[in-house]
Amino acid sequence: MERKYSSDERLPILMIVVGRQRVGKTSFLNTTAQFLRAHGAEFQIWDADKMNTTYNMSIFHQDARQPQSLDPEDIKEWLEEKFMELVAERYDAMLDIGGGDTPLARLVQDVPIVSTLENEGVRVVLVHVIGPELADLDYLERFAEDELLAPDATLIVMNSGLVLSGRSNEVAFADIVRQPAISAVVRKGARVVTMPRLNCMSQVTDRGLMFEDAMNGLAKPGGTALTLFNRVRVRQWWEGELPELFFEKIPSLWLPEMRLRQEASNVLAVGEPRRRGKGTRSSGEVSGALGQDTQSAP
Amino acid sequence: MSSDRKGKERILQMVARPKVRSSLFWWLLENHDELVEAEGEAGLGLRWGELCVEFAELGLSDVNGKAATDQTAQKTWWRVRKERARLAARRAAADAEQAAKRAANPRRNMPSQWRGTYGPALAEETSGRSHAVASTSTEVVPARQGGSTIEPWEEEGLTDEERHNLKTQLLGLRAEFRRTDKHNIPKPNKRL
Repeated sequence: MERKYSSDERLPILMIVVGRQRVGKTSFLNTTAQFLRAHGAEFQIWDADKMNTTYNMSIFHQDARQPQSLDPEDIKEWLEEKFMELVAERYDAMLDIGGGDTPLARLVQDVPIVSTLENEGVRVVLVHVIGPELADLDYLERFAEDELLAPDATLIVMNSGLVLSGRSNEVAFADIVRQPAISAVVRKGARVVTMPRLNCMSQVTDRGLMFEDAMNGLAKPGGTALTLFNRVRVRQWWEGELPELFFEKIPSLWLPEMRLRQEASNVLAVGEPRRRGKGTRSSGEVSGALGQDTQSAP
Repeated sequence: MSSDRKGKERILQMVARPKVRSSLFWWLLENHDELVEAEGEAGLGLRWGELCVEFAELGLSDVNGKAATDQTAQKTWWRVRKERARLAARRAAADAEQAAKRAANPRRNMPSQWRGTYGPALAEETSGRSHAVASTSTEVVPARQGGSTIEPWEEEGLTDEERHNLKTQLLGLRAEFRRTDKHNIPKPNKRL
């Protein structure tokens, strides 16, 4: 069936994150959502991971939409309603569906949701979050089989946070990158990115802190702030590793638009060269890395 | 006598290099390592269109004796990579068999089996001996994956786009690992 839209056109995005339990799906989504919003992106968060009560998107994003019921059939119906709403109202959304036998897995067996949504001009971005265990590829194999859930915009996120301390990423993920399941999706245009490790991630999330608050030494009422060194760790990760090693590698059309970065890079492109204070990073420098990502979606 | 020797050489040559393979195949096989190294320096792949002109000037042809085209040269190169992998596996299997034989030899650690010269018990010589013992007691080793392993983007049957996707993503990942792991892994202590 011929598509109604071009692959290099900005379209409403539905980002769906899948993977085994405990591979870091919520960490990926929480990080991505905070980073994008900090840079001017607007999107809805759909939190359908009702099993994860201690670390879910609703804790960090109070505007996250949740289904009323825990029943898988009710969640499936809620998802259908949200998908139709997205098609009608043309906004971007991120879906945290959790692991295990999810309502989404049931839905894709019912209806070809990727082609249905793509024909309505929505770009489905499927994110497979994986760790260094081969079993982490189960979802990739299962969804790619018969193209159950295999959009062109497929992102494989290798979570460095799951690599044992002292091991290199190259060795830890060596078996994973050699797997035919990876080659099969990469040759069709999937992108593989590595999510940089934040050594004190749990200290930030256990406190229920946003990353920017954590690195600025803020704390929740009655809680404690991060230690000085952990604040530096968060800042290096947030301002250096995430934009340079992670978001730069993701095609810009696969993410909700980061308007502040785009505006900052436009201003810098026409303005006078600016001097940078010692030890500080200009917003334009970071935005240049992101906003000028000209790689179009395949 | 000398004509016998030449005749034997010709026969061995015919067996080792049967006419079922093209002259281009044998040339690429002989010069494989240098080509890979040169390609690695430029990082732009092998530009078969330009190379075919040079092949023709050298008199290298396809299996039908015709000048090689882009496609036949590229296919021949894949066959060469496969042949290299086959030869490497064959060598590794032979090495493993030899190592197994050595390991099974009950006399393997006897001084008569040591190779090299062992003089009076000076400190340096002693360490050399222990090394000799270690090397003769080699266990069976798995077949090594040498430089001839076929990369995913070198597999046959891929379209140009698929090949490009695989190559850029996987090489990019390796470069990223080299960059990030450099900061995470402690460097070995050179003084030890």
